Amino acid sequence: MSLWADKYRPNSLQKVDYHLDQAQHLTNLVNQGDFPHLLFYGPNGAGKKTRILALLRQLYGPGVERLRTEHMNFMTPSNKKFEIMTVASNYHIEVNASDAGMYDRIVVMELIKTVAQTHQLDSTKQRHFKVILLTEVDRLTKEAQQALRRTMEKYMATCRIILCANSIGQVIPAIRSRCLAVRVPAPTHEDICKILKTICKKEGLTLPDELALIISQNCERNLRRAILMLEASKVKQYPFDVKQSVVVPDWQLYIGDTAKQILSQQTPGKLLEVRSMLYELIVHGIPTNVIFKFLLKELVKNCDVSLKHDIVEIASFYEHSLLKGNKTMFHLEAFVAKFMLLYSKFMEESLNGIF
Amino acid sequence: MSPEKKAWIKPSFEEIPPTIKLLKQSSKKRPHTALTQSENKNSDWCNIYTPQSVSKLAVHNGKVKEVKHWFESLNSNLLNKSKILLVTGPTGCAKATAVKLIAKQCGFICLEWITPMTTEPIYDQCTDSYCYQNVKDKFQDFIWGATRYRSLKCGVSNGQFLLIKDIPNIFLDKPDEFHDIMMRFNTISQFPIIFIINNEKIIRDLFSTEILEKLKVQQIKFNQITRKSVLTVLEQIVKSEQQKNKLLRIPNSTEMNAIYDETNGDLRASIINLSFTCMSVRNKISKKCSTTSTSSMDVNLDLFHSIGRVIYPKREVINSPLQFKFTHNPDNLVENFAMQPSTVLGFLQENYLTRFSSLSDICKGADAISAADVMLSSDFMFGVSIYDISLSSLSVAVRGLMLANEKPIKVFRPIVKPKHFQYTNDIQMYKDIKIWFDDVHESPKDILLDIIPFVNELGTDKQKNVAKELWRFKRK
Repeated sequence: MSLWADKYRPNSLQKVDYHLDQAQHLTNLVNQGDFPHLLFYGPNGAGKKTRILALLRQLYGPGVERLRTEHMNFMTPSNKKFEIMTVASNYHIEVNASDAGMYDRIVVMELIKTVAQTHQLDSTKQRHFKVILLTEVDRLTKEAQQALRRTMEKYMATCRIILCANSIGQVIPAIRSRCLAVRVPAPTHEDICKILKTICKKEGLTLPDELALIISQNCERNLRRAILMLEASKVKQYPFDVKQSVVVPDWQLYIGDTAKQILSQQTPGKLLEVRSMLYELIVHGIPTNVIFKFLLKELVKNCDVSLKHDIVEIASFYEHSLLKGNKTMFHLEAFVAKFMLLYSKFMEESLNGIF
Repeated sequence: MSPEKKAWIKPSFEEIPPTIKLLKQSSKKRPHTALTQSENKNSDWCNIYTPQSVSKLAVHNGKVKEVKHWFESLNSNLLNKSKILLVTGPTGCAKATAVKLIAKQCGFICLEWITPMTTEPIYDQCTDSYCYQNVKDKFQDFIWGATRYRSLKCGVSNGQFLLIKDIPNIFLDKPDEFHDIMMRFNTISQFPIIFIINNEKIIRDLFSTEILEKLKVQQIKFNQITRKSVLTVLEQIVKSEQQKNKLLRIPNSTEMNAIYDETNGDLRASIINLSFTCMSVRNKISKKCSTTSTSSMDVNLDLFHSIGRVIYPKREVINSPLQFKFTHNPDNLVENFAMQPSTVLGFLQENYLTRFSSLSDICKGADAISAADVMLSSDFMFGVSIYDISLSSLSVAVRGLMLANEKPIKVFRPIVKPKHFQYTNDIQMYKDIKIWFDDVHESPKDILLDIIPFVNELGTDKQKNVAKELWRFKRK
């Protein structure tokens, strides 16, 4: 399917719609001819990937857009073979090393070695380096990140590495210091409204301001989701109606239901029910930190102001241990239990106050 | 002298040293005089008191009948009779003894396969060199020979059977080869084979249900010997031993019961422990020592048992309700888990919730588990081994849970496997997503979060169907 989100993706740094200063800086960086390793970070749907691809185009010309997918084979120390899918052009290669799970270290090392050991054929016309694009660096294991740091220094002559992550909290400091970190913040509501309108204009549709605002408020400042919502709304009903309901992702609704369950009753039995609901979300591949974030949002919405502070405090505590720990579910459950306790205590006290 | 010639010249033709002769005589005598023999103090009681007739077996009568029935069916002319018997059961429940005795009663002679420790080179005349025969070939030759040709000794008997207690290790890696040999055996053999195995994994690997059907294997499962029968056997041994040796101290019934508990009903181990208990007094090491249990074996707890002790903690109040200790020491519990600490932690997390009665207790328990998980995945190591870290983190969880659970709910609920392990296969899921949405250049995580929810409106029919099947949340 050719989605609007792909169709209207700006393909050069001159055409991006927001963070114009940053785009100018990136253009200058490329025009110099050389640049350090880069680390793009920012929330989902803020335009990290768009900027990276535009940067590559600026660097190598339209040749980067001729993409081919390749399957690369790797061998673990225990002689188990596994396969990783890569997307590559003549000038760059894109890999999500965390696809390999616990073997990501091998992918990082082998891949950079094979790519970096070959020089560009015609270095007079082209740049003298290639680009390796690693996505979701924050999901890499610590070992893989250590390996990345060593290979990064070693092959500086023949390749540049562009890293892409949601948050640099999970990236080890050694890598952070070797890269130029570029933060891509989420677009503002006004930015999103503006972009939605231009897309509609190009499609020959009319978009009422109210609907644009509703979409921008429901998309969590995620531009990709906003454009998808717009397209889904158009399929559902056109001409647009001001009071039209927008499609909200199912998993988000489900997290809302879970929050309602937590608020409805605070007993061990309910906690057990909530646990099975959380598992249901995990089965569907929703990352635990996303669940945590939306759950907290829903819960805090229904809390008294005096309670909010405490809730956010415990949430930050368990979110931290979730990142440090291994089994994310344990911490999520501990948070829910703690919330239930605080909430039920608060409700009791306020009831006593009334009578 | 070549080894070939060596084989022809029996050592018996050479001069026999007198000591060997004496030894041979005594060993010949032993089976007849075993019960009354008193001068032979060194041989262990297991050998001396091996039952000499079927009626003296401690095995349940029904099982004896089953085995006997199988032997009798061999002589019948049924077309569909099974030539292979698989005897399974825990260690020390007299499987081999029972089979041998019953066979003897039915008039069969036992040929036993013992896997050779080392293989000696064989002289090959054609090439004038030595070659080694591998265990697999030897095993095959042995089965071939033992099941087709009558042993010289079994002239008068009904026949012979082949007893295999230890299967060569090579077959554990290559079960196919084993099945191959067995299939060929099944078509041509004259005499039956009995396998005696107590390892569940080997049984599963080598004798899957299809194979059992294909080879027409009859399986007989032996159970643990009951406390009563073990105790009777032990008492009989003590009685007859006492006649020979007046100095022997008779262990009282609590000690006998303790022996049974320690060995988990393993008859062989019970007899060895019994001889040790009796001996320690005879040698007058110390009287006090003998009254405490010998406890030669670790307390053997299975996983469910130990988890039960954690999630239903028992307290013993010492003076006041604030001063108490746990009946089961948390440290011992932690050390006795025979599994990876992370797995145990998963089990605890899955099961603790339903045993807690109040929410505040749950909070403390969940905190302990959360802290344990953080410790377990910490990567700091200043001279501390990963093993130590994992043990201490498990200890945090166990102590935390036991302490937090002030009023455990004493209702039986089955202990369940942690769901967490089934649910963390993201990698496979991400791969699948990439295949379904091969026309979208996004990372699978983004596809999952942003594109799949809108697939109903925007996707192709195929993608819609896949999403309908797999990405539906179950709502009540």
